[in-house]
Amino acid sequence: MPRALNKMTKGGVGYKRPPEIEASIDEALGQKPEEQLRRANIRDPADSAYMSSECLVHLVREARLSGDKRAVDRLLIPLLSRCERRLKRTIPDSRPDAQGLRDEVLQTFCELLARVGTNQDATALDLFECKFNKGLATLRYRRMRKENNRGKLFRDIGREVDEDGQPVDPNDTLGRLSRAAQTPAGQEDFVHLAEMLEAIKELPPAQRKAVELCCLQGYAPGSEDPNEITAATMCGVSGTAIRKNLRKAAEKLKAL
Amino acid sequence: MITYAPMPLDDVLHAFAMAKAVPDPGTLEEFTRKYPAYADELTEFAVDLLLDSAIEDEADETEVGESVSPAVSRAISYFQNALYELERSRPRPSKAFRKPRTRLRIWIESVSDRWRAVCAPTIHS
Repeated sequence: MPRALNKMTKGGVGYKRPPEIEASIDEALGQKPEEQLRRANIRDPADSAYMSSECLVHLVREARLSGDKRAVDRLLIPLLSRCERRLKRTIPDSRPDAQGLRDEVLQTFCELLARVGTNQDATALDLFECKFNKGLATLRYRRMRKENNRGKLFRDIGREVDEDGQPVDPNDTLGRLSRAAQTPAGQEDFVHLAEMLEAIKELPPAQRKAVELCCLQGYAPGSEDPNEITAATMCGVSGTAIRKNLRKAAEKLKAL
Repeated sequence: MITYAPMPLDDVLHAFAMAKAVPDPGTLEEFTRKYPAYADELTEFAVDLLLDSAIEDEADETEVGESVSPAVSRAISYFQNALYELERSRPRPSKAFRKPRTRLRIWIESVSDRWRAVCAPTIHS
């Protein structure tokens, strides 16, 4: 049975891990260190032996609490590698000083891990044992809020034109989506964004990818600079292909 | 009237993150009504969570090996430094705490010396 979490809600109820996480921790605790490490290093969530990140956080915390330095050293690498991969996707290179921001979020996470077993408060890690990605999202949000630079990330898709000089998004559908994803955002932006994200899921994969990269992550569709990372270079297609996909997506989404 | 200390922003954000798998307008409204001081932060955070939920964990094709990325190396080094600092700042028993034990020892030794001194002639005689 995994150790109970300490963090309490305002109503005095303790945080509870989802049952499937609880079960996976139970299973991992009964495994040998070599097997735990093998599973921690699996990077494909679809692999049946894949260890959830929530479970991995728990194992590192337990190792810290029991003073098992060797286990901490071994499991810390796959855990931090997962954090890094997630942060690379959620703090894209299109953002100014993306690497610096990712480093700072990773450092805050490391500080929390270092606090385990000391008199310092490490209960913030409880969220990571329940919903790992949300824990990371919270640290990211807190760091971004300090910086208050989200507005710089988003590209005005409304100004994009295709090779014939025609606007890619004449109805400003994608432009509105991009603005709704910016902060400071109002509650109406949140409602609009929630509806749009549902609709984006229904788009064909190439259109969906183009919208995600350009409207939500702020990448340019393409660039004349061969060294610039753009949606085109990320997808391995031309900027023209990305703009075509954006135009088709805008056409489908404009009804919303 | 009883007034409660305001809940720290981090705790409110954590509670919001835990409330639903994907935040919805109803939950956002409920939280902004409950914590009006954090309405802006909650709305921004809700947008962040929404965008975050649209990004799924994908399989990583890069080869798994012994090599560690520079970012992870920096993070590990930061972790080791943080551990060292926390260890260093951990309170240790002060001299003031150790003194009574030393005084007690001195007192016991002096009493036993005196006892020996008092008893010694009796024993010899």
